[in-house]
Amino acid sequence: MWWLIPIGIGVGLKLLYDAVSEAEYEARERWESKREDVEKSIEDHRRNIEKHIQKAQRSYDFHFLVDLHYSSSQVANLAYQLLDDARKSFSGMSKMLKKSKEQRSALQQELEDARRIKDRNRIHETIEQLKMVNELRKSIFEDRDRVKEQKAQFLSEVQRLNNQTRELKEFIRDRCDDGGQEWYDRLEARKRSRRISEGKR
Amino acid sequence: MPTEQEPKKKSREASVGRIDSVEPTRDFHRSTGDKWIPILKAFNPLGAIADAYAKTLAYKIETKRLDVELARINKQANIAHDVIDKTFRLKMEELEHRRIALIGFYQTVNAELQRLHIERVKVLEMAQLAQQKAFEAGLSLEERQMFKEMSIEMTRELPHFGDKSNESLQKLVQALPPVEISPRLLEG
Repeated sequence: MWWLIPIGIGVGLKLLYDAVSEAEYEARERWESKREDVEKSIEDHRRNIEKHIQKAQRSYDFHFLVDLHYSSSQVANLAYQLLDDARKSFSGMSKMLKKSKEQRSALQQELEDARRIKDRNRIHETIEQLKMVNELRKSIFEDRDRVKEQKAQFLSEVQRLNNQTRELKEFIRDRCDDGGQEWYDRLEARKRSRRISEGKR
Repeated sequence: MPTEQEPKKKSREASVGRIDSVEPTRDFHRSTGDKWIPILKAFNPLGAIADAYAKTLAYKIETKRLDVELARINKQANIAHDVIDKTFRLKMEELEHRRIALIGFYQTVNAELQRLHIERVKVLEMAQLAQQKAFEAGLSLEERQMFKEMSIEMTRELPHFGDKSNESLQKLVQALPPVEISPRLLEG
């Protein structure tokens, strides 16, 4: 019967080994499962954080660009007012030149008449008046040339600012998701309704 | 002496959305194997049982560690989201302040330009009137000269108004914030 002892020990060891192996297998399974959970959790969090950053960045960019568009349009409007002022000044000075030209023609006619009848006083006075008119014209021409330069400068600034404003508007529409498109549509609708109310169509 | 790994470590710490990884699996296997197997093999025939038991314990310890890591990851993610929200709110507030400041600035410059506009219109009217008076019949040469000089002085002011207006406009143009579109947005 003594030979049963090693067999018993062997069977006992085998049972113990099986139990420990089973426990190891289960522990390993739990660890594997936990490890996968952790890896998935890391990936999920990273993805969510990236999405969160992108969303915040896009929202900030949208507001920043809308503000910039507002500023740009305000400055463009002011530049247009200045251009309009320069145009009106230019037009006013041109009218002055036209009137002075008419005056000069009238004085030249008067000078001819005075010379024909040889009225020395009238000749002298008309020549003086003609000098005065020519001085006035020369001065207005010089000033009008400066206003003309300013007019061209304002026109160029208005065009640049208008282009910038339009580019910003289109950028917001094309790059700021649905919010950008909605903003663009609202802006265009407001423009249309303003044009209709002003009767421009 | 600073190592090459230090800047990498710093950049990882500075990044808002960075969730630190947990220890890779192969390190765990290597560490447990290196520690236990040679020792337990010395206790044969129970070596295999002891090895399995040691591994069970190691897996349990590692599972516990992963639980802690999971809690750390969740906490780190919450902090990251919180930082993003706070940074966003701060940036939006900055934008709001800048908007208010710019609107105030536009109003001031606009008022200045309106004043210049009115003055310019009045000066042009006065110049035209002075010229008209200079050409009227029945005036002496001295009176005509006076009106002519007045008209010249007035028209000379008109380009000055343009210069002043241009200065104000340039101030406004310079006040426009530079376009800082994020690379993400440019990528579409």
